[in-house]
Amino acid sequence: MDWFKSLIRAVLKIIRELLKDKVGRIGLIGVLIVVILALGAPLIAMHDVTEMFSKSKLKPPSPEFLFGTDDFGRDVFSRIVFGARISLKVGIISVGISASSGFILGILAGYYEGKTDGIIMGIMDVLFAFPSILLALFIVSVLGPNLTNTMIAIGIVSTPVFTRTVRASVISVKSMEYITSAKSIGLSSISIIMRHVAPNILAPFTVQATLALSSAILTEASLSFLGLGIQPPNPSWGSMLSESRKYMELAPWLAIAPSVFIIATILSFNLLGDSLRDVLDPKFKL
Amino acid sequence: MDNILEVKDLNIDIVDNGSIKSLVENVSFNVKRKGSLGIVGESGCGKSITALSIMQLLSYPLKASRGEIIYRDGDKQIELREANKGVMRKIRGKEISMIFQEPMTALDPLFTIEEQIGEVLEIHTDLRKSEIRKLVLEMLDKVGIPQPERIMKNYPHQLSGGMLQRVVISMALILNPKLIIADEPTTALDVTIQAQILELINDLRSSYDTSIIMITHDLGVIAETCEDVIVFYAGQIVEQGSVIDIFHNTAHPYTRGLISAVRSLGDKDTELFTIAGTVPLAGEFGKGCRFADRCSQALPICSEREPELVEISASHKSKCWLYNGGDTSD
Repeated sequence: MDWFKSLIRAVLKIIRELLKDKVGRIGLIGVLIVVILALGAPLIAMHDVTEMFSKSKLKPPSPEFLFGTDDFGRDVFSRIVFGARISLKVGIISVGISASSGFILGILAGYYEGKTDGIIMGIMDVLFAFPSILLALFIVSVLGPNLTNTMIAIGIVSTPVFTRTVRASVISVKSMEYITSAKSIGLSSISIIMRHVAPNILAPFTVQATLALSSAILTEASLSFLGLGIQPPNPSWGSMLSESRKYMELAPWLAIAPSVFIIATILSFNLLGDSLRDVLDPKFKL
Repeated sequence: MDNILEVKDLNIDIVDNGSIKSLVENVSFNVKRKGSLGIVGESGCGKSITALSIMQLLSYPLKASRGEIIYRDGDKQIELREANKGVMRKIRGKEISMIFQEPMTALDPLFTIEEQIGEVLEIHTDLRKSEIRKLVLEMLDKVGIPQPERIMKNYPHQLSGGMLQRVVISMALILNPKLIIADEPTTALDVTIQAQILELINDLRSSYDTSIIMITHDLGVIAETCEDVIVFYAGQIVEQGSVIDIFHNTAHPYTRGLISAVRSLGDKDTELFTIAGTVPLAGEFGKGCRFADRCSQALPICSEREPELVEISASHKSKCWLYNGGDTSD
């Protein structure tokens, strides 16, 4: 369990470094709030997300309904809290998909170069050519709009960024003398990749994952806003925003609550990512 | 004939935008068992890729296109250029190992010294962790690292260049290989450390009975460590012989230029000697001698026809029209 202990120690060290940085502190706290909302949703939410209070439709914020109620009389606060759960779930799973496939593809392309590289990066460039929201829309409309397909679509859309980041890092690591040295002592290609290449590209990879998390959350919100993401009555910040349009003048709190949460969440993840980059890779510090 | 390594007519090419350029041409040399061979030449003349090709470490776009690289160990005889990956992996690190130029980058920043040296043993032996640890400690002690118990727990960035080069040397020597290829092992180090490292390599070599190929651009290093020398220029051998032949019966204007360019502490007021011009790029060679444009003794024939590498004495060869008739007078 030595490696586990040292991993924990490394993570704690990174968190300590992040807390020293003002930007990192804000990002970390923001992300932590979203995580707490998502994990503790059933405890924090005051009402059921689908429970309709027919006597209090479109009520402004009050102690009973913290963020007011929507046109069905549902509690906006509870929906926001459960929306955090969906946002985070979509973010983590879709980044999981794109990060793992991007990691493998990027390593193959960067390490073996030549034809493998040409084919992989060719496909990635085609994916890159589409605006990501358009590509996600296309994939979702082919697969059908639901939670799983949304996550798959976002996963596919953000794979090229990972592939490119990983490939670039692999190429720079590969030119280091310790890789030639590893070959010269008789390690096989697979061992070199596992033991010397992969660990050395983890820093840019982790930063990319944090940033991709925010863009995945944003893409989910956009898809749901367009009606192709999370389907009602499930609460998603994007679809809540979309539904709020009709009552924008009558009940502005319907638009304000999800907007603020989308912005704050994206901002927190981006700040965390930026700060993480400074902590993990001092060379980029300006 | 007791050679550990025989290289015959080795050619190395580079694929550049679809066209093939030759970087190393018809290079042949032998490394004697327990012998030491120095390869000297300017930057970019093909020394390092020749070394890498022996280990089969060239990767696209570089390729050893022709020739033989034969490794002999007792009765075994292996053609390295045709050896498959599995055979090659068993040879690397165990039979032939390398010492690199930049100790700062030759070690993985994420592993401790113990883990990196231990890795060699992990690959090639079935030793248990505690035994590996013991061997690593012994080896670090042998290469003159103080407090090896403490140092082996350090990461590369915590050590100085000289210390790291000692670590790299212990990695190369821990399995007692038959042949070491040292690719400019002292270039990145301070002058004072250079002498220590060379002395260390010399000592270890004699106590381990290892052969060595020493690649360098520094004739001083050659004079201190090598018995045989080959001089590289623009991918070809221009002079080849024993260290005495090279220094005392120099038979090529390029070698003479290299020797004149070495500065000793005495000459204060004299200007630095330089060989005018630069090495021509691969693919831009004329039909004559590749050194002709920079040569102060060039004859009309030099830019017309390329001289052969001819024997001027039993152990000494030169690729120059001036010596082509066996005339070594200056």
